[in-house]
Amino acid sequence: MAADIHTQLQPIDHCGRPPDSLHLLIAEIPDLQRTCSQFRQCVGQQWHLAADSKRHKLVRQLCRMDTAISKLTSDLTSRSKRLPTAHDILADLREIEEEFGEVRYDKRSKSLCTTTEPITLEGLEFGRFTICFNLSTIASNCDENPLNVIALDPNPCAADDAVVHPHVSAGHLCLGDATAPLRKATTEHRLADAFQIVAAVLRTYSADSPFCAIENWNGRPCDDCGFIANEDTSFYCEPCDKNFCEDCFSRCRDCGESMCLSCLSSCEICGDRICEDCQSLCDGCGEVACTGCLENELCPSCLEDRENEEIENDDEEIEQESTEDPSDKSQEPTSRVFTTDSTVTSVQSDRLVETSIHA
Amino acid sequence: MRIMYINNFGGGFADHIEIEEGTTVSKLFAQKIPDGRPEDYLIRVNRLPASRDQILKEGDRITITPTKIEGAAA
Repeated sequence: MAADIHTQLQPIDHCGRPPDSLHLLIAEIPDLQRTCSQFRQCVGQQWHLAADSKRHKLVRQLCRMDTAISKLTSDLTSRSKRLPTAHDILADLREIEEEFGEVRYDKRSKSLCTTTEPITLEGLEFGRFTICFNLSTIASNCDENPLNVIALDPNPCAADDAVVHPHVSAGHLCLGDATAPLRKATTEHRLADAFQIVAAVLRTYSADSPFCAIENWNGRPCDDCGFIANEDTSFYCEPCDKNFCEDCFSRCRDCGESMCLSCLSSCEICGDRICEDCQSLCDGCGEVACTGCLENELCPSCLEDRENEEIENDDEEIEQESTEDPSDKSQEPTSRVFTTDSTVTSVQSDRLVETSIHA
Repeated sequence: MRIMYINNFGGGFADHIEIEEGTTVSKLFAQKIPDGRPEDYLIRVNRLPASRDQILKEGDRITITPTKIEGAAA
């Protein structure tokens, strides 16, 4: 097995590509030559300002080249670093076996795998995990992820079946602080270290940035906002048969029944939540209101309008009464004539108008 | 005296270092990870679990790996 793995790990030089830093360096050369030529010309012509500008440009280009050279040197040095022998690989396999109890190599998928002990974090059991490294990917030294983590006894987060560990989603382990050391371990083909680093991440809960927080692991997603509410903060809405978080759930101010915000209306006057059974409509404007905000089945605004209307009507009646002098005999024939002769009534009315104008 | 030192923490480190004769595992640990507690790390010398007072020898390979490393979300 060790010999197979050793063969498999023989480096594929950066997926067959030369390092990016080499391209950067080569791309700078024509620009540098051009600037050099312009600088010489400026100096020869004694164009001092232009020569100064070209000198500054040369410095900037040389700085960029310096950075590219350093990167290229680092890339090539890491490639030439001594990689483990078959004997080292064998020692790694023994170390993995000793640490985890087993190690498996799948020739077909070119994967080296082991299994952790059952993982328990903050009292919650996540079961065992198989850690697999694809050796082809490690050998290619690409940015591609060689790691796959599989839950053997999955206890997925209630909100997402793909999340089987606070830091594992769909087989992808988000490494956090382990990113750099694992990258270094796989680049240098230190297999036992790589497995131990991954296991250390699986055995740790980072509350700052999980795919799903442990306190919400068995919670339910709010049907409204999607927040994963735990058992204490998840509420069931009977009318719509769904679960909601505490922010999307309230109670009717009148009857006290609890429902989601979609099943409750807001009183347009006081803003309180009311259920369909307790809501009333203003007889005047038709606005939804709670019973406390309606008086004589009117909202305050319509009630005020109606009162104003009544006052106006009263005023008009008073005004009308004041213009009608009870001592004016001319009225008497009107009422009498009204029932007998319409022509006479008309005449009497004209007289009334005149009387009013004169008054 | 030259040993292979591998630290699987922080940026990761794996290279040969010079240490004084008679340096113990705990002394090297204190030098390299002054704020760390040895019980929070898996320390192996030549791939075998090491005791704190084990004296390191020329050519030894010491590996220090945290037992807990904080992951993240994507």
